[in-house]
Amino acid sequence: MKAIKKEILIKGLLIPLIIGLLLSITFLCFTDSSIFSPVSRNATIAYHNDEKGAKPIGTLSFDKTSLNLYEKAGYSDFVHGASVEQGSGIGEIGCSYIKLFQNNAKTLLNRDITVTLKDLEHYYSYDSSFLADSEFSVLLNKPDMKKCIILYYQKSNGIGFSDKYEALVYKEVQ
Amino acid sequence: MGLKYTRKILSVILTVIVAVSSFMGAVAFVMANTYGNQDFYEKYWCSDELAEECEKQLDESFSALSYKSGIPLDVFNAVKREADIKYFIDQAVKSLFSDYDSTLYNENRVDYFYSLCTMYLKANEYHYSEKDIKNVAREATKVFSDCVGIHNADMIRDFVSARQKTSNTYFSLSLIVSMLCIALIALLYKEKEKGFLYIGSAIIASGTGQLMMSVASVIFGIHSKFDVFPVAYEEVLIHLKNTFMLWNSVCGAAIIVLGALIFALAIRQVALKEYRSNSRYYKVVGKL
Repeated sequence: MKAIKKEILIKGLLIPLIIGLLLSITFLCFTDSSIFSPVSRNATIAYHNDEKGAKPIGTLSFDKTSLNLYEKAGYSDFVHGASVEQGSGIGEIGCSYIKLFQNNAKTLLNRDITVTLKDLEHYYSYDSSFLADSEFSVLLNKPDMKKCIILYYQKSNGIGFSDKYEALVYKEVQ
Repeated sequence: MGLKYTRKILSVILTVIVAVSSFMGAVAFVMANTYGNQDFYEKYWCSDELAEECEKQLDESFSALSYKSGIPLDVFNAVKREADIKYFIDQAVKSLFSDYDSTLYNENRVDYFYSLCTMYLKANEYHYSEKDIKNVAREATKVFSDCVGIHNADMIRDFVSARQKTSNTYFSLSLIVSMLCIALIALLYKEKEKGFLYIGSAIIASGTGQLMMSVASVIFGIHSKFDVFPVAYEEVLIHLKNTFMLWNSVCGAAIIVLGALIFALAIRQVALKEYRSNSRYYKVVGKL
């Protein structure tokens, strides 16, 4: 009877527990979350503007308007903000392309603008404007200036909006 | 003595192999029936929290579109009166495994938003350009697709078919290896019940491994960081993983019961034989 109790203890309890523990540890150590993820790391399943979304990187001010500036803003950020879509970086050599809604750009034309990034202010004065057939055409346009920004928006005539984009070119001033 | 010792070592090695292969086989079986099965996604993908978050995102984006286009928010929100967001998410999940577009962007929806907008504008006698309103309808459909639809569908489809294929292969291989080793253990012993003690032990070990792995993963949140966008879908993937772990632990528990049953029957036989060998009656009968 003693031998049977020993068999139960060793083969029925100890061996399964030790092997089971080793199996579970091995499995959890030698695999990663990718075996449970249908998409790869940093993939986008939907485009939500949540806590992982764009954060304001500065402000864009003109006249009495001040807009939050985002890098690749979410759609709903455009109500009170503008988005740096492409470019060299504000204050750096080259051109930055900033997208906004026309409603927010009503008082923009011919005004000087200030972009504040990390407590550093960059001043820009209006230079010129152009019309483009698409957003892509705006982004292809490279003004012959050392430091500039292009603010652009989809044109609207009140209700709805057209295919055309209006772009305003601003030159950095000291 | 030497032969008995070698047999014991061989039995332990075969027990470990049976435990490992049946563990892998069982995990592969659960994997094939969860991550490798489209019903799993259709059933567990859409939670109330996901639907709520998608609706919130849709509300915010439609508000922005209303601000941009000058068309009231209620016009775009009519899509939510057509069906609730959960229904649309379910449609997107079903589309993952059919020919439809899981992003939910299609010309029918563009036409639907166009008719909503024009109906409102006509009713309120606004003058509008058809082309401009078509642009609004396209943007509304894109907003809807971005908030509710599922993007990167190809990745998901590839993952499901890969899981199905590899899990089935692992399951078949594990089954063959387990059966072979079980047969070898049985061959090692003249008194089969002694061999079955090892087999039962291996099966209990496999189930214990599955159970421990699932419990540890859920309690300590192991493999719960997926780094996908947006946050709501990170939660969806955690929910899918936890559901997998739940089924895995159920399977593990069932395997433990099976192993314990085999072990109990074997131990009963061993005890019976020992009793018989010690009783006077059987000693006399044995001599005869």
